[in-house]
Amino acid sequence: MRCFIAIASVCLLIVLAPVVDLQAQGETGEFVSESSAGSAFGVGGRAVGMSEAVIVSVKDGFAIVYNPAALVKIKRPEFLGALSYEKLNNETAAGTPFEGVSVANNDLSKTRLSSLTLSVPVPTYRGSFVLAFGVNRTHSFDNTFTMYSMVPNSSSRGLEEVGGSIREYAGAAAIELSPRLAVGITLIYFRGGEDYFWNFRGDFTAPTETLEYIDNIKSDYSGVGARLGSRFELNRNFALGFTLDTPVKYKIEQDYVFTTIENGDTDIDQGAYEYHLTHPLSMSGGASFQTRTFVIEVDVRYTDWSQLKYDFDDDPFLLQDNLSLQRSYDDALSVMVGAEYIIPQYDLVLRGGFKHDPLPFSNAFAVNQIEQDRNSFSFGFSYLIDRVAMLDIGYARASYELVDAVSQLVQKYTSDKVMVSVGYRI
Amino acid sequence: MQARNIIIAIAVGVAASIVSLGCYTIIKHPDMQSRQSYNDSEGYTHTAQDRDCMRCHQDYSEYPYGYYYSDYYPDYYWTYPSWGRYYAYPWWWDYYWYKDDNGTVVTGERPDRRRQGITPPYTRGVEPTAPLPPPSFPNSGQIGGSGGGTTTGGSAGSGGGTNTEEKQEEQKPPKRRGGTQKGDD
Repeated sequence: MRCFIAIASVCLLIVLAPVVDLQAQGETGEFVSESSAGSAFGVGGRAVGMSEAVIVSVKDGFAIVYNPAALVKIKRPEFLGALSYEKLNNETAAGTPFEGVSVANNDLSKTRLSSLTLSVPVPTYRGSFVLAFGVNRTHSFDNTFTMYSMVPNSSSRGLEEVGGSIREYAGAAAIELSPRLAVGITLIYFRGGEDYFWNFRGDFTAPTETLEYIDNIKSDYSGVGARLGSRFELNRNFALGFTLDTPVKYKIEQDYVFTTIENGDTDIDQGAYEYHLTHPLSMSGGASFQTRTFVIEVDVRYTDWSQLKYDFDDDPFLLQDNLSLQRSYDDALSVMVGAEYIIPQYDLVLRGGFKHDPLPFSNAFAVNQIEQDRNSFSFGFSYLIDRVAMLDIGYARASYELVDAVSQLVQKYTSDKVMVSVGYRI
Repeated sequence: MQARNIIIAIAVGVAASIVSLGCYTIIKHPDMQSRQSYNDSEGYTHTAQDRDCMRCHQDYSEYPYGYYYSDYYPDYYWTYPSWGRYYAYPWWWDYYWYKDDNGTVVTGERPDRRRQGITPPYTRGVEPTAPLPPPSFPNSGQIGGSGGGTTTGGSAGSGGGTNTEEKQEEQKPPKRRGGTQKGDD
């Protein structure tokens, strides 16, 4: 083992030599990763097509996710279902002086049942009162990372694949307080899981050594939270919306198996661990402008991820991790812009959007430098089927770029997502 | 702690809004029967219907049928009814729709009338060209008296007159016609 560490250290120094400047940007402490942070996943074909700029203009059961107050616009019982398809790609290249030599690429595709919701408007003589229930996949852990490195006397390759999600099991209610003001609340039980897989293999030739890691971590998430929403129509053209997601304290139960194979000797470390992680509150606001057949909306969402917090009553060591965790993350202000044009004579709606969705990392650590923040564009359409059903299809492409200045890996991530949803109103 | 305070503040704000604005949304329409009820000489209680809807609905022109028709309900909802039906037409209004004998969808009043024909004066108001089917209740002759006259012909006006006379003679409130009428014998 000592021999291997010595060899690895030499290799590491070789790799690090050209990147001293980059490393100087970050702290030498340990980056703490929580994959549930900043993992929001859009639901509904219309929302995806508008880059999720729908806090004000959402008009179907997905309001349970985006703004429960908007449920008041539903006048008929509605069943909603949605499927998502996402293709993730990671391309990792080694930096100077090995660029062009060490390149790795991997794709990961996932098709998921995204949503099922039921909205029930209560008969009213005046105003609106709507109840809704649903299951929505609002956080996605799906991701992949791969690397390949060839330096003198050694080569290494790694593959990471992560799958899973957190779903919201929710009930919501919305009521009109005045002809133009509505409020709503969604009560949520979060439940989900993450499957993490990491395989790394290193070969060293002087002297000959091999090392392989095979890691599996299965995490179960559960938590309770609420979402408050309001919606106000200033006049016939302008409307505003505001939502607040309460902090959520997740209980995370993990089972892990770490397998280390070194020069043919296998060592297995397995166990279970449980801890609590609190997500901070999140606020969103939006404004929409609409004419007879045109809608444009601009939304913002703010979350201060540096307020992520472990419950160190679980484990005194988490107190120290809390400090690293909070230095690892930063606040994030997302900006979404979406528009749609309605062609009523063809029962058709066309839409598109753009989203600036910053990664929540603080850039304080050299291992996780943001080279290009996460942006996405989208488009989609809806088709009204015989006055009882609405087909929504949205497509979004997102990309971002990270640099690991320690191992000097430039990582490009892209995501192509298609969301298909169908609403049926009785 | 700060987050909790924000949530509490918002909850209080929403509650204050509901209290201060009043409950705009009405699930159950207020009882419109006047409290000035009275008992007649036969012991029946009568109440007056308050038909002055505009007393509470001054803003009817802006919010017809209790709904604010902003630009969210643009004109094409009616030009192309599929849109209006999907987004704007409350499902409980379907109750006001029905189909006629030809299968044509028509709109009209809420079809809530039942047991038609057994309300006084128990005639159809026009002269029948053929004998009417017998009434579904057993003692029509006794109650209607002149109801027999109606079925045997004569002008509608005379039939109506006969009924009126019968009512004047008996001076009794109308009896229920459904089910067993033990008291009629």
